[in-house]
Amino acid sequence: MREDQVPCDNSIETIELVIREAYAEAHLDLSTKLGVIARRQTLAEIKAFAELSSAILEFQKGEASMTPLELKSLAQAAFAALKDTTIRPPFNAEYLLYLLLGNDERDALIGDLNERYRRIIGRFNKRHADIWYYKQVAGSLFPLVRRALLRIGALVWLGRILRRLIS
Amino acid sequence: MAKKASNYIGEFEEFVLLAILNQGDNAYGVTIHEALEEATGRSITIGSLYTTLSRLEDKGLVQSWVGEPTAERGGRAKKHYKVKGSAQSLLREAHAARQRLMSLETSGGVA
Repeated sequence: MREDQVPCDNSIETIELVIREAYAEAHLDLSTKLGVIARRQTLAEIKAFAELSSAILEFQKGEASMTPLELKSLAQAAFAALKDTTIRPPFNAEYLLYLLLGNDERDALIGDLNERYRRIIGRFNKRHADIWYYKQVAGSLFPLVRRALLRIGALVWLGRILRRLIS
Repeated sequence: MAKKASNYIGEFEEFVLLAILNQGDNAYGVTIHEALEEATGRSITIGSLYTTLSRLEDKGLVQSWVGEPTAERGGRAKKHYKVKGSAQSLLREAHAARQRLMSLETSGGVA
């Protein structure tokens, strides 16, 4: 349906048609659809869908302040936000980092990787971005494990000193 | 309790401090990582960057704070970094030492 073909009436059928068209045009893949169920929602996505929901409610009540064409644009923006926030890096690689990092670093480091991962998808494709992600995680294992071992070693050493002082 | 600044920094720590200074108010993991890769021409892993950043924090040379979560980061927050004054004087000292050594080399003092 082209923009000049969007019906002008505010009937429920028109709203449904407009939303269905926007959904189809978003080309959401299966992983995106499943991702909606599995992951936490982001603020951008919640905001986009809240705006769309209130616009649909206005149409249903007959108090619409926008045309069906404007509603379609809103739906397109909401589905685009959904698509953008459901691009997920390789789960196993992310989980490895999750195990090795403390709470304070986890969000920052994984968030940084996610940000660059999306940029690589935009520039190349998901396969290239996945390879880059795995490479980053594999290269990060040694420094992170080494740091964890050093911390454990320091604790053991401190424990021995304390035991000697007590005995 | 304020952490005491260490009086020694390694080469990679120096690069990280300079990258943070270079980024100003926008210094967080991604911008520091990109600046380091661009300046050194090497591929640097995010894990080695974060272990260095945490070491610099332990030494009292940088301070960090958590920003707002964003959609492009999958709803995760950024961790911003700022170089402390003590680190800036350490960087100047390291730079001066390097220049002294370079002048020794150019004047033929080093074989």
